[in-house]
Order: sequence, then C-alpha cells, then structure tokens
Amino acid sequence: MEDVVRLRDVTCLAGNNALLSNVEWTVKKGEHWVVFGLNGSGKTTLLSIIAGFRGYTEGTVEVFGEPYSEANIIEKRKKVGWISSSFFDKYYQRESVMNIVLSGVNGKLGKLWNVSSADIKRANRLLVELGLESKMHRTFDLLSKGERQNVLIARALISNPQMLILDEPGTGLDVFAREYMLATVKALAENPDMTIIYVTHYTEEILHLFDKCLLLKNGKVYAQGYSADLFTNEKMSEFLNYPVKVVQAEEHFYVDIHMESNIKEIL
Amino acid sequence: MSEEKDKWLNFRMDETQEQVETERLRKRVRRCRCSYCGGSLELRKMTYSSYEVSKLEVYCSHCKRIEYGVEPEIYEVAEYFVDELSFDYYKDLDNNIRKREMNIAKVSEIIEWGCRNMGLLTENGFVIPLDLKSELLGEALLIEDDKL
Repeated sequence: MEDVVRLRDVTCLAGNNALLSNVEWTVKKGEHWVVFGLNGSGKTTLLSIIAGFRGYTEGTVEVFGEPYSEANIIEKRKKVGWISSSFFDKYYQRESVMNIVLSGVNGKLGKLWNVSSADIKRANRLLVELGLESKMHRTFDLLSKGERQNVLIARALISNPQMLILDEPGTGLDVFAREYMLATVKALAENPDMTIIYVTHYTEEILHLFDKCLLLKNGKVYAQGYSADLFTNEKMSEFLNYPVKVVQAEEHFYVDIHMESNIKEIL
Repeated sequence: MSEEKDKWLNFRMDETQEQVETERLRKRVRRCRCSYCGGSLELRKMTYSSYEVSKLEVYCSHCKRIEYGVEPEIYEVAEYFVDELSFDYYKDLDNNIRKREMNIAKVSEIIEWGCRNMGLLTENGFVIPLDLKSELLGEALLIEDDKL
C-alpha cells in the first residue's frame, strides 16, 4: 500500500516553544488511525500541518507521495477532508454555513468563483442529511457547537476526500449526534481506499475500526502501533502517568479512571 | 544538473501560478463589495501556511468576515429589493442591522447565480456594461440589443 502521509523528523516551533519535536509517522492508504493525547500534546498542530494549513520548522512532510508546494497545495487540500473545530473556530465566525461548506470545494477558507450548481446541490444534500436544512444560510456564530461540528463535517465531505482527518469531532455533540457521527465514520471506513485519522480525548469514541494508534505526549511521539497492543492497562497507565483500567466492550475501548475531587474541603 | 533545472523550472511555475491567482483576487477586491455590508474588500493572509496562494483570502474587515464579495451593481439591486420590498428570508430572527445584511447577502447570492447562469456575469465581472439608474431600480434593467 502506498504512503498517504509520511512525516520525517518534523519539528514545529512557536517562538522557543516546541509544539512538535522530531515526529516520525507514516500512514498508508486505507489505514484507520486514532491519535490519542492529552491537551497541549500537539495533536491539532500535527493535523494542521498534514492538512496543509500550517507550516513547520524542520523535517519533511509528504502527503499523497510528495511535499506540499505552491503548485499542488490547493489540489492536495481538496483530497483531505479536515474536521477541526479547534482550528476552524479561529477563522469562521460570521461566514454563512453554505459558504463554509462550499469553501471545501476549493481547499481554502472562503468560497471562490469556481463553485458550480452541482456543488451547491451537493452541499445542500449534505446539510440536509446532517440536519442543518433550516440553518444553511445562517452565519456560523449563530449555530450551536454540535451544529458547527456538522457544518465542518459537510465541508470535509463535499470534495469527496481520499483522506479524512477528524480532530475531536465528538466534542460538543449530544449523544444522538455523536452516535450519528460515529456511524458516519464507520460508513466511510467501509471504503477500503479511505484513509482515516481520528483524534480524540475520549476513549469511548475509539472504535475497533481504528486498528492503528499514535500516542502523542508533549509534542513527541510516545508510541505508535496497533491499538490492541497500546490500549492495555500497563501501556495506558504509563502514558497517562496515572493508574487506569482499559476495558474493551463490543466496538469501543474504555479507559476507566478512578479520581477523587477535594473541592468539598475548599468550600 | 537536470534535477537542478527541474527544481528551478518548478519554482518558476509556482511563482507564476501564485502571481496569476494573487492578481485575480486583487482585481476582485478592487471591483467588488461585501455582500453583507456593501463595504470595500481586502486581501488578507489568514493562515500560517507556508504557501502564499493557500493563505490569501478575500476579507471584509468591517464585518470581520471571509467574504468573496459581489459586483457593486448586484449589491445595489439587492439592497433596494430588501429595503423597498421588505424581503425577509429570516423571519425567525429579530429585526436588526445584521438581519438586514443577511437578507441583502441572500438576495445578492440569488441575483449573482441568475446573472451567472444567463451568461451575463463571469469571474471578471459583467460581460456587458450595465447602466443602473437608481430611480429605475424597482422597475427594470434595460439592456440594449447591441450590448448583448
């Protein structure tokens, strides 16, 4: 299988702060990866580099077989469906839902001239399917968190991507919306050519279809390999620096963490 | 040697594509208006991407919105339509300036789509000169045969 993403010794600095350090990672066509890490571990930075929305300081990044360049970046971005509220919330506020979805056709943040009537129809169908029929001409800031997430899902899917990157897609969704989103991911994963990278804080979202796992900690790759090998009591407790119990139930992994709060002593 | 030449040629191609795209967007910014507030547009580098062509977006700094804009004639007609005929697409929203702007943008979008599909509008603007008369906006737009 061909490499879809190939990162060699990638470092990304913001001032003196290393957001990512010496990341080595290869994702092959059709693989389903989950990227797991705590807040500030560099997950969104890593994904924005792969999706072509952010530069990096050192190393090489190849997506679909070659590095990004001025000539190919827009075409490559169209092949990557990227859903990241932590990224897009910084840029989208007063843009209309329809325009945001149509911007996916161009691989840019804004809609451009080349949007066709067929694209508009497709955007319409996606938004109806995702329950946003009555909101498609509203502005992004007038939507709830879950609705915004669905707008980004529609934006990612409009260009028929070959790789889907989902950055905490379950955040802010209610139980039904989250199960629907996971069912959508499962349906997309049935395509053997579809590469999926799924980032989450929540282990219950980690389905068995994500058979590969990358553990990120403080901007560094802590471990990578098969999810079944990494989601063990020992490995997870070591990774989280806290004793945890991993439970595999039906299609999901769960990490059971016993914690106590001292808040009552303060109040 | 040949590899180096290829590298150089690719670089030249990249530079040219970037220039064409930037010039195209620059022209649009000079000609068009924000479809919401009717204000002028600007080109803005939005993301931290390393490539110019991918981070440039058309932006309305008044609305703080990534906004591709519409032709000024279309905005004028849409504004007239919303204000004079009380067009209201967003009946469930409170009446305020924002709702008015959203309505104008909606009408602008429809008119733009119509003009584009009739072949009157391209990426570079109207293909025929429009002679909009403000006193006739609610009546008709006259396009003479020889201009079609």
